[in-house]
Amino acid sequence: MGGAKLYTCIVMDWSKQEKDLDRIFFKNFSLIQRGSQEHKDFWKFFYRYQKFNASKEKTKAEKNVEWSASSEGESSKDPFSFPPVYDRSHRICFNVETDNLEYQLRVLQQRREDERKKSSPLTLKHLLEFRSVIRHFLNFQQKTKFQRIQKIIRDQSELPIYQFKDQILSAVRDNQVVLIAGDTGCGKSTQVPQYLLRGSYEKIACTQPRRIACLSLAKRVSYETLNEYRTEIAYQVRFERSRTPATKVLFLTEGLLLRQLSTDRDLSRYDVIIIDEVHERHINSDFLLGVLRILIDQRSDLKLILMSATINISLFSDYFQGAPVIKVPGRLYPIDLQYMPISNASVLQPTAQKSSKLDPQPYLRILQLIDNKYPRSERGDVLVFLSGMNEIASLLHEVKSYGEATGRWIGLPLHSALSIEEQDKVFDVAPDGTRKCIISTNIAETSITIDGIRFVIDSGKVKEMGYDSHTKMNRLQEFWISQASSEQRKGRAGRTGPGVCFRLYSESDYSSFPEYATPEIQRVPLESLVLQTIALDLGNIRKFPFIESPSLSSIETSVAFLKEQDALTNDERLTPVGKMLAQLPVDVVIGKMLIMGSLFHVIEPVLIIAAGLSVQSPFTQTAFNQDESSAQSTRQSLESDHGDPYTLLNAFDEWINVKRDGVKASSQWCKRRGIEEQRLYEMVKLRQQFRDVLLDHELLEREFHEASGEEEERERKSRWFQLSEVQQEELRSMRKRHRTENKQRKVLKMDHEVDEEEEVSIAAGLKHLEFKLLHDLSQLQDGSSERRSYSLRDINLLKIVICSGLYPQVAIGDDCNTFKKGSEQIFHTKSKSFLVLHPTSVFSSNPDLLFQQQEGGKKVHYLLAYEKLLETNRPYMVNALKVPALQTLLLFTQSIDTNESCSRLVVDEWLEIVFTGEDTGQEVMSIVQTLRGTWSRILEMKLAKKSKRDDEDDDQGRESDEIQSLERLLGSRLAEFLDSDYNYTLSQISSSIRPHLYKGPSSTSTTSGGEGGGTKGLPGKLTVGSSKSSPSPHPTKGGFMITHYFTYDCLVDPSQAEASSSLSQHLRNVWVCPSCHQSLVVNMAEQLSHRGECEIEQQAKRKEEKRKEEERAVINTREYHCKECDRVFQFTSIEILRHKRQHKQN
Amino acid sequence: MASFKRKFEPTGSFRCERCGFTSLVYSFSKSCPFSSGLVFSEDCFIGRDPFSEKHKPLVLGSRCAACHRAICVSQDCSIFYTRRYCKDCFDNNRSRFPLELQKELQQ
Repeated sequence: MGGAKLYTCIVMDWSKQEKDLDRIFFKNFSLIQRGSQEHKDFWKFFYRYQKFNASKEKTKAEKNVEWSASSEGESSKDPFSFPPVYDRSHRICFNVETDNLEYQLRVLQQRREDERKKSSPLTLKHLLEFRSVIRHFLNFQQKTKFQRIQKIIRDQSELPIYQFKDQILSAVRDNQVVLIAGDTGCGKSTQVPQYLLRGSYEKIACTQPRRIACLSLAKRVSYETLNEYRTEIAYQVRFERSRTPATKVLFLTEGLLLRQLSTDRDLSRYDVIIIDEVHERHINSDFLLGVLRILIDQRSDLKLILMSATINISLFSDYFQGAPVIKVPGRLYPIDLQYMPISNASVLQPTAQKSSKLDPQPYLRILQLIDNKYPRSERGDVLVFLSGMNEIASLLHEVKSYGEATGRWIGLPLHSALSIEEQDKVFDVAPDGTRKCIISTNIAETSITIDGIRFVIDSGKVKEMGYDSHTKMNRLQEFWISQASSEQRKGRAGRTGPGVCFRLYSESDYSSFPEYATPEIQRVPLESLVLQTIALDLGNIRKFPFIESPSLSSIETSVAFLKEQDALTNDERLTPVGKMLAQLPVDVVIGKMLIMGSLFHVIEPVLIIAAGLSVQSPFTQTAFNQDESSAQSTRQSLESDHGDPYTLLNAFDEWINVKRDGVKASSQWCKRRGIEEQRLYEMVKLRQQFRDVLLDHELLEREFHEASGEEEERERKSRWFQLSEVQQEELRSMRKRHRTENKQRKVLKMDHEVDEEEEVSIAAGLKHLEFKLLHDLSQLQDGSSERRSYSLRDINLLKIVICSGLYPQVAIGDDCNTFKKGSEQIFHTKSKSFLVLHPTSVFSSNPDLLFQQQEGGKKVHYLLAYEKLLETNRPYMVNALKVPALQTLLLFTQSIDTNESCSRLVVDEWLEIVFTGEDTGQEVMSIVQTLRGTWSRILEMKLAKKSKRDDEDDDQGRESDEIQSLERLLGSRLAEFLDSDYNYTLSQISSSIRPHLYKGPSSTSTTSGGEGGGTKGLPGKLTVGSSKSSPSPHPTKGGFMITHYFTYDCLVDPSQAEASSSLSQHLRNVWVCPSCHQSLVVNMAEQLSHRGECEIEQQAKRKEEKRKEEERAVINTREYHCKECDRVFQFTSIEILRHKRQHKQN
Repeated sequence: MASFKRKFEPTGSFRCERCGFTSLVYSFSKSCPFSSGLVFSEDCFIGRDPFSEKHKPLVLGSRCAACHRAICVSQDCSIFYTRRYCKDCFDNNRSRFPLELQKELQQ
């Protein structure tokens, strides 16, 4: 006892010994590694333990008896024999193994001596005591971990779906298709895959409508299965995947599963497919259902499980011939429902104004009601459903001032245009005595689940994207919600406890709501869908067994559009372009841009613009509203006079350059300009993905220094090593911190002032480093500085490429625009009039850019090409681009009709071009024919190249040679054409004139007077010059079809009073072709037709000659003078012999 | 290399005969097959710590020293004092355990 007493008297200052103890105990100790979280936890535990022991004032020191049953001798058979003295350490079932402590201590003291330091106060007893604390710590760890596992299991078994586990498994075993219907919170998404896994299914796919859900579900299920299956549970979405060959459960997006069909027709890689959230009726899930319904007949071993909310169950069950339904009740607390319709008086007042503003009063009254009725101490937040962002902004303003006045409310917005960080704020906790008032769009209906909501205020309104397939107009309109989503909204109040739902409409309103919302397939464009059905060989799209068919007219317009875009042939098969488009995971418009960009070798900027148009706009609207002065003016430097896609490109390039200065610089740069950096990161990723697709299809050739897939991986690794060790460590620890930080909820502050110099969040830092790791920053920077030095010619070429995708989405400015402000300028397309500029567009703030500029006395006409039309309160053009009118129209239109002198052109039966100069029209048309001919020739050759890949290499080389020379020709000619300035007038054809445009087929009469000079020539009889095909008359318009888009001399010429002058145009004259120098006797139509073909032919001829010449040079030829025929030949030695032999024979 | 790899594969599954808790186990022994540092005082069902990125052992249970049933380490199923006893054997033989332990467990 004496020794022990002495020992307790000397108070040991453990904190000074930490280093030495670490060195002794945690050197190679795998259970607690130095520097790890556990190591830190241990030291915390250690001091707590010391304190606890001290407070207990133990009379005896911990004896640290490491007693074990076996050491007592196996002889004691009595299972209840115990050591004579009770000791708590006997309750631990293991001992800690360390190196020999006596020896360790000696080493320690020796080192002290070597370093001429005082000897350590540590004794063997201390070390033993320390070891025993480790033992207690590990025991504590083991216990809590087991408890965590138990909790997971308990939570699982408390889920409503748990009761149905066996029922589900046996239903799946006995049926090919099973429908599981359960409301939010029943646990179907997390549990069903686990049940299947434990029911020994091994190839399970589970689709989700949203990417984010794939990631979080994979994580959650992996956690719940105690990581037993580690890599066996994985996710795969557009940009990321964790899938390995060992994967048994894969969470993926619906779109991705559809893409997998193209390489794996019957999805043989899966034996169970779960389609989750089918009730949401996304276009992809509807399509997938149709595909799978066909597939299950072919694969009797395939199991299909549909999971939905308890909405419209019979629709799905019936679709699969009465598939069994397992209905799982949701876990909802009772919800008190109160109808509080807004009185008519208050409705009328705001609607008097055109911009119907939301009346905040009914909402504030409910907040007051809550304040009065429910004590502050009772927690519970409010979730308000409004229709759109503007409504949210105006109510938020009111709620904030009410909150400030009462000190009880924190208003938070929630919609998809918010930054990720702003969105995440809704999960933070309100301080005691205050409530969150989350004002949201329908995003909080199913997509985002927020705990702690006790009150729901439902406006009953939703803004939905409608689509008019005729005008191709996207329309954001306000509707009453469906009964189904009304119930869904209500349910949000009862997730964590009993709640209240206030409906700002009457019960009779409710019963007049449609039962279900319109499925997406009935309100969006169907181009991609049509392409995919054809690509997947699913037969006639019109007969596809949709669960609910889209309208036939919508299908027809999509098919027509695809034909117009050269993606479909007339008998509705895929063209080479169409095949390519079907494989690109993008809109047809974007896809075409990419294909054309690679043809013209301007792919880098096109990749970026295409990526920018495919992600949500990085320019946040909130910044636009709040700090109008600052954000808008700082953004101005990025704005391009050419249009919004160029602004996007500038922003990206600038950002890449700022990136060099590190993460803080770039995130601040973004903040100041109201740019959402996340979107830019997405652009980088998407750009890379587009690039990979193009490389894969040989539309893009690997540059010499560029790495192939495998090498790229290696390069990526080497970039990892180029990061300094500190950065590597930083990245690792940031990833970890990011993971833990995400779990912790922060407490909100009452004032929302955002600190400008706010610490860069870990997430942003992580993104930055990952970005550096995955992409070659210097290469991106090279590209961006290269673009700075773009000439106008480059810019114009890029415009044409972008337009190749956008066309026919072009609009002409109204004649009266000169007198109007930017926001009031109106534009017209062929099918839609009175469009306006989107407020974020550069042309909206700088309308002068659009006016026909006077350059050297000549007018330059512009059109606006746009990415899409969006109708909110007005019909907006989104992502507008200024393009030269004549060139754009003539290069892309489906029809050019001319008068007999080509001085007057009608494009798409919509715009009229009248040239002022003589013969200009003919010249222009000849150039256009050449350009378009060369263009389609190159496209054909390039696209055919891939299928021919197996042919002789030699041939391949020759072909790409030809492509290259054609490309050069096209490049220079195109640039010339774009640079050229012709004098012309441009106007819309009024609808009253439209029916009288054409001569019509019957008018073969002679030229008499002004009523349309008929064609005098008899083209059938004549074969003209080298022209392969003589032009044939157009069946409806009259005149002659020179090419599929060009109809000559079909216009009724109103100004044609003096027929005599034009008469000469019909007479056949001697004409010398400027490119082949043949003199021909032709009329105008024949002349035009000849010129179009001749240019290309001549080019090919010249090239062929050149090649032969080169060949000759390569093969050893020499000059040979034959005495017998007295001629000089260019012969190889073999040819000389052959020649001589000929003479002999003769 | 092969043997190294085999160490990480579960050898069977463990099921608690009291509560039905089931999990994969890597060993039933006094030492962990994939990690050093701990020596168990009796044969244990050793699983893998699911919350750790590294391979670390987690004791799931062992056999009752009295009735030899497989039992998990949950406080509802067993207690450990020099050996593991299932809750039933403990309750039936409560008086034979040290008083201090009985008191501690009542707390």
